[in-house]
Amino acid sequence: MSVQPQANPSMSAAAGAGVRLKDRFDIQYDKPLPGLRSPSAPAFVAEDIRAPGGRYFALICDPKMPPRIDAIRKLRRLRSVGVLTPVEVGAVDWAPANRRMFAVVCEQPLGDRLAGPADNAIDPWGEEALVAHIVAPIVHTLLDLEREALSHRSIRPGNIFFRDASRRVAMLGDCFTAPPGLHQSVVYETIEGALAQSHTRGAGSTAQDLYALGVLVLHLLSGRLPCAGQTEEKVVEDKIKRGSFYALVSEQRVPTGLSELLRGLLVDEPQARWRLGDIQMWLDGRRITTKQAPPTIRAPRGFVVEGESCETARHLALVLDMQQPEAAGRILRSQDFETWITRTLGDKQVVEAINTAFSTRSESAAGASGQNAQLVSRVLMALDPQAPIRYRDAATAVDGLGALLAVTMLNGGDLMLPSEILSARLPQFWCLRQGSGKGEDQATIRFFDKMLRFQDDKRPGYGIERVAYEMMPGLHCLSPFIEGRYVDEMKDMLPAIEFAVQAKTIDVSPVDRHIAAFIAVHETEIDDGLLYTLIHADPATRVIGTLQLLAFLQESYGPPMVPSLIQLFGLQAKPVIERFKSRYTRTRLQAGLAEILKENSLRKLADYLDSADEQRKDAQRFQRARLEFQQMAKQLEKADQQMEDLNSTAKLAGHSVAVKIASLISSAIVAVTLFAMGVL
Amino acid sequence: MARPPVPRVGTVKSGLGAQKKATPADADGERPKTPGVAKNSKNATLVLAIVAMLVLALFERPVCLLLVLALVPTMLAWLIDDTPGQSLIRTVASLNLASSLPFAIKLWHEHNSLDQVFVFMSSEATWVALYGAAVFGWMLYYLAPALISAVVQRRIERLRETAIERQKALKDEWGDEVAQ
Repeated sequence: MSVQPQANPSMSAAAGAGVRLKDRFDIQYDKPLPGLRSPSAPAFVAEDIRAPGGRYFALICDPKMPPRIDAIRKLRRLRSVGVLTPVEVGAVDWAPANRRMFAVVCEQPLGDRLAGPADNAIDPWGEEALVAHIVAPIVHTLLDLEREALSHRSIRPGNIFFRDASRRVAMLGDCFTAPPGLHQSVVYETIEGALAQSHTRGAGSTAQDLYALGVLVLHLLSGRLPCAGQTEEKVVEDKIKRGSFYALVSEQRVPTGLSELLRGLLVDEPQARWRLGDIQMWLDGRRITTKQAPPTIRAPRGFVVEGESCETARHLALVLDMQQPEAAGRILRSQDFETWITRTLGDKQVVEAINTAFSTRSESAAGASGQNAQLVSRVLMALDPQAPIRYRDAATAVDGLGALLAVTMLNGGDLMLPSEILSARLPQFWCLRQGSGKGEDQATIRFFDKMLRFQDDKRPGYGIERVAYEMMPGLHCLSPFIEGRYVDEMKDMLPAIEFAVQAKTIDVSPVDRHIAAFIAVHETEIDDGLLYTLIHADPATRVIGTLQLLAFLQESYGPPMVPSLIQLFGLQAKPVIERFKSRYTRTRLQAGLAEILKENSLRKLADYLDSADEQRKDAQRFQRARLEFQQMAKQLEKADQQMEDLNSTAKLAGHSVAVKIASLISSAIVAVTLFAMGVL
Repeated sequence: MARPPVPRVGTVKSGLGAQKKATPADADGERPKTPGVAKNSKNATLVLAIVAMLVLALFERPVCLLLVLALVPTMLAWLIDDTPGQSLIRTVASLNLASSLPFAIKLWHEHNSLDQVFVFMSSEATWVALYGAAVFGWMLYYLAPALISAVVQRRIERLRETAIERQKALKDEWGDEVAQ
């Protein structure tokens, strides 16, 4: 198998150096718009051919980073003016990359960006202007988004535009071309978000957006990024040790008028953080009752790890996570750790959770080291339940696991890591550790139980591939055959396979595990039994199963002509025809195959090769032929036996005949004699 | 209490041995005969023939002499024949007797004397007539099995050829699997 360039110059070609999206937008790839680009999605001029003159641009998503399809759907439904909203989306043949890419066309904001993409030095904003032009519009937008249960997760100066040229009304920028929070600095992330890998921070909720809004306010007030110059690790450690507000504000002078807002937004405990309603009240000038966050339990004496004294469970979890799993495991099993947790820290919930972590049975394909890593992961969750799942080198929010899996697959990474996270039931442990007892957590647990079942099922349509498509509903098909064709909808599947066959990327079976899993997720009418035939030991059954599957796709989604695919099946028809026992039937089918292939219909070919009536007749005739053959064999045996007995039988019969003939002749002689001599 | 009698050796049992295997002789309607029974039958024929000849010698010596001379082939057949149904004797004797009948009648009706017997016997035509019929009987006895064997063999071969050709045709269409 060789991976070929997968752009099709003949398809969707627009006039000039561009490509057409959904027969409406011409995207000019020779006209980039650097001012509108997102970190992982360059921007290009897009023209609406139905209504020329509009100001549109297209963001071309990085194929190695899955876009937020759910966010795109919600934004298109919402049509909020306060956030960059996709007008049209879809995959296009992107000649510069020689493949198909996902494009999102949006209307260009009238104003420019609040700051350059690098989030460097910004002119400081005054308190009133900041509230009026930035905070208030963003809060209104977030209210809109919350109605759709959508979090933006990309609030930062470099991703904020103005709706007007006079820079008076801010609007949020792109939040859909990359996984949630991918391009956020750890400064803008909550402690939980900052602890996770950038692409696995998860969509979270509006609470994360409000935290980022608080950081944005602080950033704009001073004109420089809070904690600038510090390493990411130091920022996170500071946030954990001192709390986000103090870590970010540091020596900065905060205007009295904004102090209350910042204290409300930069609370580390999500339940104590201000909500949108609180900010609205604050904007309306009303006083907000300060919510009391549960106090962080601090141990009177720190637990020392590698010279670092940890006074809180969360800080200890952070320090332990920085250790190698083996070293961390040794620490967790030490008497000192047990004494510190039970007697010094004295947090009953943490003690109980750690006991649960130790008593949870660990099974790992990696053996003792895997079991140790699982234990460390569970204990970290016990110590810091809000933190992401941290397992070996991975750190992912529970709703970021899909992105972890997808990005790992897209970048050819080691799938063992996400697979082990699922196998060890770490997401379920995380949900139980939240202790909210909400139905949402139970539903999440059930969902991950289902994913685990899918992963353990090795049949086509299941496995880790199925898990990826279940957890990332908008993920395009990652089959090496057609990945470059960016198939994210079923209607594009068959054309992509046809293209791959034409390009000789596919030369044997056109359906691999990825394609099977993608179809299983997107097409519920497909029976599992049909998918199982794809790995059947009998080559003919495999070919027929694949043919039936693709015939279903052609019937349901088109296209009507798939000449290369038809020819491929034509070449593979031999074992299918060989299934028929009658040579005459085989000859007839082989002779008629060319005519069927000309019709370009997978359904007709499938019906031709897999005719139940023909098979039944063949089987019946074969049974009759076997019976007849057996009768012939018996007849031969009988003849052989007769041949063996022939001499004795013929002798007896001959003698008998001789006696009878002699008697007859004698009688005649006697009669003639008697008559002749006048006796009678 | 008296013990039940032990069956003696040779007691006829029902079941085993009751079903007799069919033999080709059954097909021809001949009852199978053991060599002893056949010999007894043959001897009985001899005794009957000697008695008949003795009676004939008492009353019709010329005819008796004629028959003694004429029935030499039958006597030879009697010596040779070891078939259960005495087929050779029956074949040769019937023809031999039938061919002797015209001479016996002529002798009896015309010149019933020993001289006349010698007159008959001095004629070559008499020997040809008497022994020709017997020779024909001998030939019939030996050629009939060969003829029947050839006919039956041809019929069996045709059946075999038909069956083999059909099997070949079936294999040709369905492959070796059809034979399994």
